[in-house]
Amino acid sequence: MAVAAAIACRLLRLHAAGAGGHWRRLRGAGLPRGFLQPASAGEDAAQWRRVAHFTFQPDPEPLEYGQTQKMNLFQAVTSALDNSLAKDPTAVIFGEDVAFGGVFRCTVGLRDKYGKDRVFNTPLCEQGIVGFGIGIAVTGATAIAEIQFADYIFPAFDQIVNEAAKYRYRSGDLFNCGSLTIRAPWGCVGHGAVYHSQSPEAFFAHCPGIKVVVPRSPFQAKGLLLSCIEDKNPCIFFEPKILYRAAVEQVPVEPYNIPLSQAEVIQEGSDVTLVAWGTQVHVIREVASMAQEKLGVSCEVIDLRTIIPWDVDTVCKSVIKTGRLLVSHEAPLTGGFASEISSTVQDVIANSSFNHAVQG
Amino acid sequence: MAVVTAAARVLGSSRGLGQDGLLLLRRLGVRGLAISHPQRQQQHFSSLDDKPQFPGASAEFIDKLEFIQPNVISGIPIYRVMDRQGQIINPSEDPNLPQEKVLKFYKSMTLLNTMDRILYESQRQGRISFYMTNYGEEGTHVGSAAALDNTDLVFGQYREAGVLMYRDYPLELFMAQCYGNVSDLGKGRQMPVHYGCKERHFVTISSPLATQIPQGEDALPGPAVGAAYAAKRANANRVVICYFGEGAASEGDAHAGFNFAATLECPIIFFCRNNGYAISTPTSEQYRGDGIAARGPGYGIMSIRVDGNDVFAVYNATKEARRRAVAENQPFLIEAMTYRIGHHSTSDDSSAYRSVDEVNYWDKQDHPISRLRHYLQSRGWWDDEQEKDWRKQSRKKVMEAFEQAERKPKPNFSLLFSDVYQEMPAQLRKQQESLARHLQTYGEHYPLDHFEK
Repeated sequence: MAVAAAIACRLLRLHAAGAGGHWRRLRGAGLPRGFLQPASAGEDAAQWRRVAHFTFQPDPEPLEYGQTQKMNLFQAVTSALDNSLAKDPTAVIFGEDVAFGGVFRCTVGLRDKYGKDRVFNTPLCEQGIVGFGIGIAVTGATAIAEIQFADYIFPAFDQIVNEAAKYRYRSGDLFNCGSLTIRAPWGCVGHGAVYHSQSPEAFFAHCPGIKVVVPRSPFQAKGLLLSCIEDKNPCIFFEPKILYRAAVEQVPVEPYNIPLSQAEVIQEGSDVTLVAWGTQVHVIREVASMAQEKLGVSCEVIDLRTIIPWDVDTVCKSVIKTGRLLVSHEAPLTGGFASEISSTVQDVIANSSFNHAVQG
Repeated sequence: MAVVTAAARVLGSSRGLGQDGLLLLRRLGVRGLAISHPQRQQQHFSSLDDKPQFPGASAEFIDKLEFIQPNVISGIPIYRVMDRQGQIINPSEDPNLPQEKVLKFYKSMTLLNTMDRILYESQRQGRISFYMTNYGEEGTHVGSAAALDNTDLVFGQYREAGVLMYRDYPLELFMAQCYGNVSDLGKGRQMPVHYGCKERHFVTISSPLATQIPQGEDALPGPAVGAAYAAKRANANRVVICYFGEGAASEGDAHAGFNFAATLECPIIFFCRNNGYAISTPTSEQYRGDGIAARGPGYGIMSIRVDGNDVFAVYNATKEARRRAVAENQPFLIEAMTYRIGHHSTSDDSSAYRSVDEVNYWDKQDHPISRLRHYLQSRGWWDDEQEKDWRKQSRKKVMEAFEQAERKPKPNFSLLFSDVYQEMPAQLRKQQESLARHLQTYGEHYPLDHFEK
């Protein structure tokens, strides 16, 4: 049963992978045939490559934003982009392969709907994509840049850190590129290996002047992406690629905003605070129920949502209540964002003036 | 149908089209991939036709093995209007500008020169921390600035102060930025010469920090290209000009900028000041091709090389480039040949890598200011008496602005934390409060008197 399900999963992913160039290269020649062969009994199940072990947990249908529609994460992104281009005539979307719909289908239909001067391909050059986006934003128009994989954002690092992040500050607020948003698929996907799985949020966390946001679900993605696009600071929006298809829930059709720099306590608890973002939120939700079931431990689960500027108050308030903190992320441990969270929380909690504020 | 036939031939009949073939077909589409590119209207493929069918190039076949030899001995010729003595060579190229305008050229260049001398000295005396002069390149700034509309957006590198001078940026604000005083529009955050002015459409200068200046700083054409694209979309009738040196042209961002401007059809002028040196690196160590102008055609960009010390040549080329860039929505590349007479900056002593004779040649024999002065004098629009008066007057103006700037305090230290984001986030506010508390206790160790309260 489990084996059949695993095969089915893989089949679904292969079908999904058909459209994009990168995915074809990943698959390699001949692999599809192997996957189509039926597996034998139980003991071979262990030999099969495992996909990431988590279950996407949808949130209940939101009722306060009007009519909803079943959407997966990439469809929620498309919806947000559609809403943005509809209400902001200056908004443009650009990057590698966005014209035909994008390697993850996030921009399907937008070029036909809004025109080729608003949804267009750029040459294969991340530093150019971001630099170009900064220029558009400097004139006041809304620039939505796509980097094909977060793993490829590094050629644009100088533009992001030395230019975009510092534009307003260094000019004394004469100029800014606040209407720039950079989107990139992020995080592990099972078979992405070294260069299609990275989570580089920690590199950018060290850079004042930009905002970095990671959604856990389609509903969160659309609201957070719309907030990033409308935010008056350059934003990087990392989209967990493994959730593009795997995460499905009811998402409002009309635009709505989820505030940035606000963490969400998605489950209250009293014994330990668990913090995560993106895909890992679903893992720690599972951990929370396992802990309750097997250890009788009550976990408070927090989705950080915005990496910088992050919601120090919500996390600290929770840790003061529970007395324990666990942060979990995909990215490498050393210098990962968990170190910023744990050191700040320890610093803040040791500082008596915060305690007064919280208790009062 | 031809597509299917072609695909079948490519893949071999024994396997049929197979999985890969289906993908190939899907990529090509029914009418061919070429249809998506506006310039390529190949309607159908046929293996019976012996012409090349590649989507990547429009060219004929050749059956002789021949490498293209790059031509650096007789490179792209240098357009000029005046000779080194300021005489018009071909009267039909004389832009015949009115006296008032040409006098404004001259006064902008000489005022800049005077300001440069005084501010360079002031750094030597420890009054400002750093300075970069524009000696020898004044013609490139003023000639190009004069050919633009006042609302055309300027992205500079750091040696284009003459553009601001031409746009009547007040001396007080030049000084304020160099002193980092309370009148600086940039709020004292950057090193001297990092000017910016929203009113005059001059985007604030950026560059890496002085302690580790890499060879060929990052002038960044990318943002300029994006701004040009936005201007095109807005039907703004504006051009964007992006200045950079021949060293900066080696940066990857330059390549990206050129390529994006061409593919996205942006109304932008790329203006390269080829002044012979990137700090100590001569052009022979910066590139092996025929300078920067020769790169333009590689990207599909209209290109020209001009005598940068001939203000009319710079003016004519920029004027025509501007007209066409806006009318045709395409980029233009102007390589202005000139010479950096001064040191790279106050942190540089160029006698370490070039001869005094070489520098003197340019200062005495081929200087944009002298050449224009000769032109003015031959027209009867200027004489030695006026020269003397103007020198005195401009020096006085600069000294007054200088003395005033020096007396003003620096901005309040709390401005260290604002404008990082549009709104100040909680963490930065905490840091700001922390600094304020620190200064309350330990303020005696800091020169707080120099800063506005």
